[in-house]
Amino acid sequence: MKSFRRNARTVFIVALALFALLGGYFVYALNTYGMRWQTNPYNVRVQSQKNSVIAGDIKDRNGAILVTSDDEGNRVYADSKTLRKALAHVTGDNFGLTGTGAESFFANYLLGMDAGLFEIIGNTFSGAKQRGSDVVLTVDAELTKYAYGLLSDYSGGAIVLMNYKTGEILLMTSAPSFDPTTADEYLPDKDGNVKEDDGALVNRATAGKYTPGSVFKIVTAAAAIRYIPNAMELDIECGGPLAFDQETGAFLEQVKTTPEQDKENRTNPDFVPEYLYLRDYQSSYHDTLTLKQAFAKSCNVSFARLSLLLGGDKINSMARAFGIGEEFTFSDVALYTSSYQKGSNPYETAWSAVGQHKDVMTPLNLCMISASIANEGVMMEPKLMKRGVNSANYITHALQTNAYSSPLSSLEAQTMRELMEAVVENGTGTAAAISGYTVGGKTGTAQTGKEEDDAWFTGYVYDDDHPYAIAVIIEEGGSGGKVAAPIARKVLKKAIELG
Amino acid sequence: MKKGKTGGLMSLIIIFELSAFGLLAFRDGAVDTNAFIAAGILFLVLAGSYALLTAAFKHLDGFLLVIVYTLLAVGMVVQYRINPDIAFKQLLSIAIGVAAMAFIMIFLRKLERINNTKLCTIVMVGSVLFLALPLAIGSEQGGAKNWIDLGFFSLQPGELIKITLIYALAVYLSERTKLKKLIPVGVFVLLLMVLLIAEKDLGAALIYAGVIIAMYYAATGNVWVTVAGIGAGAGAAVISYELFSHVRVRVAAWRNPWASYYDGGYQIAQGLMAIASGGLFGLGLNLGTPKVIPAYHTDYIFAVICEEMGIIVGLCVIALYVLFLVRGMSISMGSADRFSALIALGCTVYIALQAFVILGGILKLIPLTGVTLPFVSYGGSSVLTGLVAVALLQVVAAQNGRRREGETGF
Amino acid sequence: MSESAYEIAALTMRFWFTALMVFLLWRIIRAVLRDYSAQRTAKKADTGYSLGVLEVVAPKADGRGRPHPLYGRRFALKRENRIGRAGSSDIRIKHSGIAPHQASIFQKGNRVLLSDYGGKKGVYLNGERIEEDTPLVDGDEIAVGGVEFVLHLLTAGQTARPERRAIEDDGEFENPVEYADSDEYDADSDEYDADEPGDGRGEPYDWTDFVREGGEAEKAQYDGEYDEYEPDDSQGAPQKRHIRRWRR
Repeated sequence: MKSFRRNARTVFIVALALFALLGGYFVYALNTYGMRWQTNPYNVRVQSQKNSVIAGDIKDRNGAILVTSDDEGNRVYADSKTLRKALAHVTGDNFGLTGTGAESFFANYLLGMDAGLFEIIGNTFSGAKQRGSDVVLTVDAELTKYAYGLLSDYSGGAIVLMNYKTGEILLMTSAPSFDPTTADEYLPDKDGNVKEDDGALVNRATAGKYTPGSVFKIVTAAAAIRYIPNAMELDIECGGPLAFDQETGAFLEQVKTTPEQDKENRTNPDFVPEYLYLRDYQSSYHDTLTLKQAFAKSCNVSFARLSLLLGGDKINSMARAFGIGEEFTFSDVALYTSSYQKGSNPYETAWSAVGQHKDVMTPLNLCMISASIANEGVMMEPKLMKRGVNSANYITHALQTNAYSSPLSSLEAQTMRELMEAVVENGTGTAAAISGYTVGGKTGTAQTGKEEDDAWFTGYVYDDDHPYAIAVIIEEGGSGGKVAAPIARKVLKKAIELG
Repeated sequence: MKKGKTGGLMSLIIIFELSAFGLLAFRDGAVDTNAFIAAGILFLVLAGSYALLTAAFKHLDGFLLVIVYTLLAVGMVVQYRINPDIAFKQLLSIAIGVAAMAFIMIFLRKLERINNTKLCTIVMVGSVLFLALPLAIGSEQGGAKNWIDLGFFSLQPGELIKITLIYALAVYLSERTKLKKLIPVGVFVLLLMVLLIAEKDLGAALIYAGVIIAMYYAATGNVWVTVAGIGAGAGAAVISYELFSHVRVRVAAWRNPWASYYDGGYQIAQGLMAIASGGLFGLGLNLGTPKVIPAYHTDYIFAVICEEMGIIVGLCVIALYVLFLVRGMSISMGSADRFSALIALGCTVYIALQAFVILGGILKLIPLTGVTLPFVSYGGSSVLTGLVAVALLQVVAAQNGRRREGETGF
Repeated sequence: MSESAYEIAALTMRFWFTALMVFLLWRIIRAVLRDYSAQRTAKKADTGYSLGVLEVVAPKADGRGRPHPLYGRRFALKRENRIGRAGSSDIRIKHSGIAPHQASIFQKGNRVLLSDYGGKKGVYLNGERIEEDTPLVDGDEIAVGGVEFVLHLLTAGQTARPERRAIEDDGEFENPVEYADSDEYDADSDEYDADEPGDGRGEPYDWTDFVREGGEAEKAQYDGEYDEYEPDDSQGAPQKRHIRRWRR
């Protein structure tokens, strides 16, 4: 009987542990995902709430009304079409098409589901229809409109600007975009057909998965600083493309090609390559460089050599520290997962270190990385909602800044800033320089297999009064330094101007 | 067990159900007298049986009764809110179940009396036949053919046989532990599992497996065989995944119900949205929209509870099952003989495991299986079986109490 | 009631229901815990039930020819009694020959068994060393480490208090008194002084007296009083049967 009790006790403990798991998971899941589940477009309660409640306003950080409701409860947007389209992804639409804008994410506040009991009682007695809370966003409408305008020359792209100290998103725009007032044109018609939208409904800033190209060198450089002792004093040899064995991908140290030879090979249509090559952009090679110089000049070969020194695993852990590969569960934005693949042989690893191979990044993630570098190595959680104010002018929700992670130490961040500022000072990103301010950044020209490469720029303005981090991608824009950097400069200047 | 201790708890239950029914009575503008009738009958059944049982049986485990009655009351309230007709049917089941419980407690004072192999064999044969019945004359419901429709009410043998399973296992495991001697009950178990799978009642099969493993381990302490058993169970689960398409649908829905929203994920997604919408305190009785959730008054009733009464109440319900587990286990471990201890353990594990499985499925912790939430869900067989299990636990508790009293003279 | 009035009522009452459920749950948990701890203390004290008595019959004299302090002591037996030198033993015997954890007498089913914990010297039953748990009967002689006992088993169902004698000690309580080892004296003990003349009974001193008197050493659970037993020379037959009142 004693042994029975012993065994029964074990059964008891197992059962108890299961219930503890159940209870714990219950609390955890609802805490993390509860808001998301509640405001899910499939949730009929939200729909029915919309019928009985007048949705609150959506305003920008300065109080400008972006979306409001008229007396019948229909949604009315800003007058300027450009503004509407610029902010379309941030505000969301009223038909559940985007599902990730403020209309959905903050439906809880907009539809008054956080209303106090007394308010409801009061409304019942006064006979007034209940009004939801107003949501004040962190974005600046004018800045967003300006930025969106800059994108209009191109086929597509996204710009994100954050306050790197608080994580507030001051600007997030994506092109092509749609007009929320006519968003219903994208709903399936009675035959179930859907109008072609060219991806206008996708928020490229958060959901756009792009090949990063050279902007990924930020990650590789950070890995070098962390894992290679005295990385800043390294002499890295450039001088020509690196050759890799065609079958094994192994690095072939002894095979040397001169830059002129490489240029000839590249442009010669009859050239049959004996090896796999890792080249610099348009065959422009350098002599021996330091890490700082290599970064500033965005030398592929140098970073490929670093990848051979580091190995794919270390680059991978650095990437993970930056949130690449993380499945984010932020409360304010639905950020898709970026990913890094280290490759199965040195050749692939080399390309992955310079942002090709199978690397994929979202613009917002990249902006967060620059932000963390500017913010002494602390990555802040991106926030979109500044305040919730209910119809009685009571603040029902205030912004809570939250440090998401610390990918770098303060010293490492400082070194990274040195690198990034070199880019803007005398490297590929000089077009982003702003007189009177310290600007750091990284350009990127991502080869996607299309005719034109994607142009990237990411960086920051290192200033306590204007603590901004930015990421710009121009689809098929060409060179990062020539196309993306100037746009970033304009946007940053405008942001500083607007304060 | 002094009546005074648990009497106060009982009155709290009564206050709860009266206030809830009272509120529901006014939901449609005109006063709903049926609500008061239902509340009254429930009061009579619960309070009345409580008074009678505590008076008649000195060593009744009052806490167990209170826990179960709370769950029954919560279930009744939500069911009335959903559908008054269903609620009255449930009330009838509860009454029958409580009567059965009293009957068992009166006439089965010494559990040893039924601990004999001959009776066990008869029961085993009968159970197999009973469980096979739906295959022959049963009606299909929700992809599983495990019901027998008898006109006014329907039976689910898979539920009721759980008791005979526990009984048979207890009879054999109390005397012998070597696998060879366990062959008769092993065959019995195998037949039951085969029948359940044939009837596609995989949820019941899971519960059966859990009870078997728990009872076997408690009786023998044989870690290797237990682990092998669990491994076999896991293997069976994998095989069923390969074989049955609807298992694959369930697993896919579990991993991402939103992605497979129109293809199996609908139920889980709706459940989660309902629970999330309820918030901490719920949306208010009768103010939610439970009917968009499939199986809202049977398997998924927990989602309705959370939606309308709040997550805090939901956590309380989970806590009640934990308390049931604790009480049941202490009854089992307080027994003097193996047979009683095994019976008590089996009953406890059955209820606790079933609660865990359905709650885990609703909360997306594990894939959803079609089992009811004991005492809360609508289902005559489910309530009846649960109350029989409680009855057996009370019999063992009474035995324990009498024994302790005899020894100390008090 | 109009729809919105019901709405308000339902919205208000959700706090009521939540509070009620939480309160109910808390009450149940608290009551269960209290019941549980009451049971545990009841089990621990467990003194309404006695297997019997273990009486010391040897050593009779200490090294100097005087009656040994252990001689004649009677220990009441519970369901499980650990015998040894350690302070945590149920029957604590501070004798040099006894290991900290020497033996155990316990009830299993309807038998009483003697078990050896594995000290070097072994446990002897009626002269033979036991190898495994051995059943005991009334009158058995048990020897451990130089101390010999006689077992007086009560017949089942009796709830008698063990017979009280002049030098009796309720072994089941933590004996607050240290026993001097027969070979060495506890120098720290104020009460023991080997050179002091003993009293008529031959005891060096008589601290067991205060144990006998009134039984202050008893635990707080005892509510009522108990009767004084008359000393009786015959062993095993209690003069009085007494049932204590327990405080619940």
